Amino acid sequence: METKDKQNYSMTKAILTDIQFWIPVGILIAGIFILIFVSM
Amino acid sequence: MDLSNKRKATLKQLSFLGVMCGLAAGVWLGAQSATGELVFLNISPFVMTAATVIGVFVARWSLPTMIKGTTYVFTDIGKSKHLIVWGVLAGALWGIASTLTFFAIKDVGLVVAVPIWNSNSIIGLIWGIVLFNELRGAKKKQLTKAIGGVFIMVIAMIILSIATTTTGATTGMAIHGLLAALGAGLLYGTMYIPYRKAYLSGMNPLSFVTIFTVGEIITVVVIGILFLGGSTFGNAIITAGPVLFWVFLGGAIWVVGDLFQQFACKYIGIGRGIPLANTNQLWSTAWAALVFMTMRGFGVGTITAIISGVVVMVIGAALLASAQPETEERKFWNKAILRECKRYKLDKKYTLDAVDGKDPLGDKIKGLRWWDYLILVVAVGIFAVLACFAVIPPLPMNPFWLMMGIASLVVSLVWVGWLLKKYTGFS
Repeated sequence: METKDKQNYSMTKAILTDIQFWIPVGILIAGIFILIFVSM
Repeated sequence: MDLSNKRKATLKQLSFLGVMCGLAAGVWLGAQSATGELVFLNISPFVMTAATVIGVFVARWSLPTMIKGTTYVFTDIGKSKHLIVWGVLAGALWGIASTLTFFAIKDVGLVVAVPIWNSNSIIGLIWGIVLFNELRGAKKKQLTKAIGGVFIMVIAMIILSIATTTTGATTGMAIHGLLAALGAGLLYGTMYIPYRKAYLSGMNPLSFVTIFTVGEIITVVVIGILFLGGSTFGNAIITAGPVLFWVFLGGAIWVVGDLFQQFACKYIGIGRGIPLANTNQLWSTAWAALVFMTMRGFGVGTITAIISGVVVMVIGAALLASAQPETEERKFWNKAILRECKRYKLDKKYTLDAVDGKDPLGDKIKGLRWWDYLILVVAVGIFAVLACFAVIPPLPMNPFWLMMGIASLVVSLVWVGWLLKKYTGFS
C-alpha cells in the first residue's frame, strides 16, 4: 500500500499545492517589487 | 524512571538546549554586526552584501564541514529533496531583505528603519502560531510569558536602536525608506517559515544551512549584477580587497550565529527562538560601546536610555527562556510534523526521531572522508590569502574589552557546542 502511495507521489505537485509554499513566494515577489520601487 | 517521565525529561533538555542556542546565536550575530566597524572603505551596499554572503558561503565549508562531513549532509538533503526548494527560497528572502535594509537606512535613517525591520520577531511569532501550531495547547502562564517576552524584546530593540543610532544624512524619501524597512521586516520574519518547515521534516540544521547559503549567493550576485552591471560589480569586489578579509570574517561569524539560531528554531520553535537570537542587538551595542568606544561623548540621557534598553531586553529574554514548550504544546507540534510526513511522504519514525534530537542518519554515516579535509583546507586557504591582503583599520579599540568580547564568543561556542554534542550529537 505504502509503496503504491510512494509511486503516485509527485514532489512538484506536493510543493505546488502546499499553501505554506505560496506565502513565502508571495512575500518574496512583493519584496522584489518593493526593491525595484525604492531603487528607482 | 518510567517512560513518560523519561520522555518529559528529554523534552525539557531539548527546550533548555534550544534556549541556550538562541542566546548563543545572539552573542555571535551581535559580534557579526560589530565587524561592520572594521570596514573602513566606502563600499556599495550591493557589494558589501554580496561579499558578506560569499564569505558566509566559504565559511560554511570550514568548521561546519568538520562536524558532520559532506556525505552526511548530502544524504540528509537527499532524504527530503523538497526542502532544496525551501532552502533556496529562504536564502532568496534573506538576500532581498538584506538589500532592502540598506535602502531603508539611506532614505529614512537607522533610527526609523531599524525598529521597523526588527518587528520580524513578531512576524515569526505569527507564522509559528498560524502555520506550525506553536504555542497551541500552551498553558495561560506560558502563553503570557512567550507573547509578552516577544513584545518586550521588540520594545527593547526600539529603545536601543533609537538610543544608539544617529539619523545621519538621508535622502528624505520617506515613503521609499518606510516601504523598504517594512519589506525587510516582512521578508526576514517570513524567512523563518522554511527554517521551521525543515526542522519539522527532520532535516539537520547543518544540511539546511548548506542549501540556504546557495540561495543567498545566487540572489545577491543576481541583484548586484542587475543593479550595478556585471563589470562594475566584479571590479567593486576586487577594489574592496583590503577589507574583504574583515567582511569574510563577518560572514564566518554569521554562519556560526545562524547555525545556533537554526538549532534554536528546531528545539523551541520560531516564535521563541527568533526573539532570543535577536538579543544580538544587546551584544552589538556592547561591542560598539566597549570595544570600539563609539559612544564616547554621549550624554547622560542617551546612556540612561541604553541601560534601560539593555535591562528591558534582559527581562524579555528571561521571560522567553522560562516559557519553554511543555508536553501539551508538543502534541500540537507533532500534528504539524505528521502533516509534513503525509504531504511529502517522509518516514514518520525517522522524522519524529530526528525532531527529538536523535540522529538516525548519524548512526549509519560516521566519520569524514578525504575530500572533507580537502574542502576544509581550500576554505581556510581562501581566508588565509585574504588575510595577507587585509589592512588593519585605523580604529581605536579597547584591548581589555576586545579580549572579553572574544572570550564571550569562545565560551558560548564551546559551552553550547558541547551541549549540542551531548544531547543531540549535532542533530
